[in-house]
Amino acid sequence: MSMPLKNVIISMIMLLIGSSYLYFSLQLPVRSIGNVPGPSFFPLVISAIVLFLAAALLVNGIVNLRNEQPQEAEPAVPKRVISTLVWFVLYLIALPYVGFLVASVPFFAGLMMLCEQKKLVPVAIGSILIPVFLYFLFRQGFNILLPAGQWM
Amino acid sequence: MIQDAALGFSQASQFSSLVATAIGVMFGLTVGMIPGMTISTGIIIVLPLTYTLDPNISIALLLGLYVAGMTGGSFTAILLNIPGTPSASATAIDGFPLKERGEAGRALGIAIVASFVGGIVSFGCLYLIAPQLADLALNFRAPDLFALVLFGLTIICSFAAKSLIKGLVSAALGLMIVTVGQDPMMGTARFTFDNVNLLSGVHFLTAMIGLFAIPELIKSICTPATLMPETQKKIGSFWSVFPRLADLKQILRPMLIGSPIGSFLGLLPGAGGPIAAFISYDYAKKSSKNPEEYGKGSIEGIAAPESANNAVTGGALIPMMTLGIPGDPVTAILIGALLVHGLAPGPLLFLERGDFAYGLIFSFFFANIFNLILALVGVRLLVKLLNTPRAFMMPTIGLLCVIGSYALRNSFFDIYVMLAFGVIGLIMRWVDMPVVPLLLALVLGKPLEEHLRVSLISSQGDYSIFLQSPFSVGFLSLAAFSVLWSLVVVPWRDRLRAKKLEGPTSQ
Repeated sequence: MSMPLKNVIISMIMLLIGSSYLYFSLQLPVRSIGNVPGPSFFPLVISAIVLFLAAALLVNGIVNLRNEQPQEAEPAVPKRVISTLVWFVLYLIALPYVGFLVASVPFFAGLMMLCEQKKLVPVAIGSILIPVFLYFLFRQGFNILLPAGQWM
Repeated sequence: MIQDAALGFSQASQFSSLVATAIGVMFGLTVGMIPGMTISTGIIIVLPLTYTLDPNISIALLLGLYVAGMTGGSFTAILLNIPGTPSASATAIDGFPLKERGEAGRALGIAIVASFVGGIVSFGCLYLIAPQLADLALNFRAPDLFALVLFGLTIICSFAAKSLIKGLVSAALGLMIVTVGQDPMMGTARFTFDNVNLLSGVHFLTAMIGLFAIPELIKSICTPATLMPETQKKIGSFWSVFPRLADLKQILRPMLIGSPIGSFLGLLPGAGGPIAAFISYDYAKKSSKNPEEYGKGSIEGIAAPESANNAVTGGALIPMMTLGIPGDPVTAILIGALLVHGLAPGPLLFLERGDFAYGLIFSFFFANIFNLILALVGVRLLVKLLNTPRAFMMPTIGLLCVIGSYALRNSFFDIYVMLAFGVIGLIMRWVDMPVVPLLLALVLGKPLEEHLRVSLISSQGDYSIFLQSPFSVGFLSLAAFSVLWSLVVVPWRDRLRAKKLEGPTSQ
């Protein structure tokens, strides 16, 4: 995907975000002391700025899109980006139920495999030893609370 | 002042602080060395450790990392021609050719010593200028502070080299995020959608962990192993790293050029290490007796940029400590780290916690000393760490991101926010939108609104209050100049450069 097209897409997303932000800013309660700005003042200023900048980016993107030279197609989002994000999301879902120590072992193993570590022995050793080490370092060494699970 | 300085020195020279500084330095050298890992990411990794530590120890650890990260960047610049940090780009110009001549140890030694000299000169500037600037800043009232923060925000323009609009959009996005939570003046809930977790707003450090660490982590995971650089470890003997007297004499002049330039540019928000390094390199070359040797492995060409980029660190701490204005992403994170301990950087820091402020300054001094010693002695060992398999490193960083965001407020919600910011960071990279403006807006957004509204309350809504104080007018003029510079002068200069480049080919 070319950069001008990306600019058009992102500017439209920003227009949507800016409009929603403006709508919710207008819903804020009007509480002000005399002639001075209330809680909605700053958000309204920002809304105006965001909408103006998004519109400018959109115009800029459209103009560049017209003058654009044909380019080689950019590779699609690598599968590994999606896999890593999905793995992160699954980890975060599991975390409140099984806690840091249990959830981190498969998470660590999965990321190691995504880093092209194909030998199972290093994966098994790394994914157990490092989360356990971090758990004891932070929980016992530094007395920092780590996510605890409801089930465990 | 002298009493505070003495107390600060004793705090910074305590055994625990010195150990923390040394650990920070070792970690900084390692992080700086690894291509793709920035100093910001390094600080984010150790951040959770600092939550429960004493503030003096925490800041000693972080400063050690900051100082050494700059030096570590030069190691891979010299050995692999891949700068570990952007600030080390200029070092590679002469460092790598010198390594190719079989003098890697000599090149590394020169870089380490020059980094030390730059750091010590900037320590002098920090020690002398920061307390005076803090005294002056005590006279600032709300309109002056608003104008100052606005000026701080205009440095966004300097981070938006490719597209000013995108830089500004990124900053506006940051300002939008800042308004989530309770309104700072009246406590009205804004954009919380009845979610209790959002009442206290998005924590600045959570956002930063997501914005910086997650995209870098994913980028690294997605880089095929075959593209990772092979490390050449031919440094030479242990003593080859220690510079000879003749070399020290030769690099004195470039170091005396680089150090003040770096300290001064560090003071200016947004200028940063890479700019200081290249300007110093250029000046050193122009004033050299042997300019033709530059680019072919000249030790002067290593000393000038290395002294400059390390001098930037002390310079950047001056506006951070005295005005609460971050000059770069690292100082922005340092502000966040201090806020976790209830210490707000700004002029009052010197007044209310003078001992801590001076402790920070002296910790910076010790960080430079440790950086010199540990880098000279340990460089041969440190380079071996470059071969640590990323299959172990990257998942560890992932876990540390989770720990760092959870431990801030013991909230699962913060972990989700961190990942959401990670996705935002990835999208921003995809559309080539700079992340730093968003980060700076997250730091400066709240004080900007507060000072604006306090000013308008005191003037009963009269906007002319911003034109009544010389400080306010001065800062507003600087802000306008900064924007105009980016809008008019930079594009004009770029066009001129492009024409110059086209010229010879068209003839």
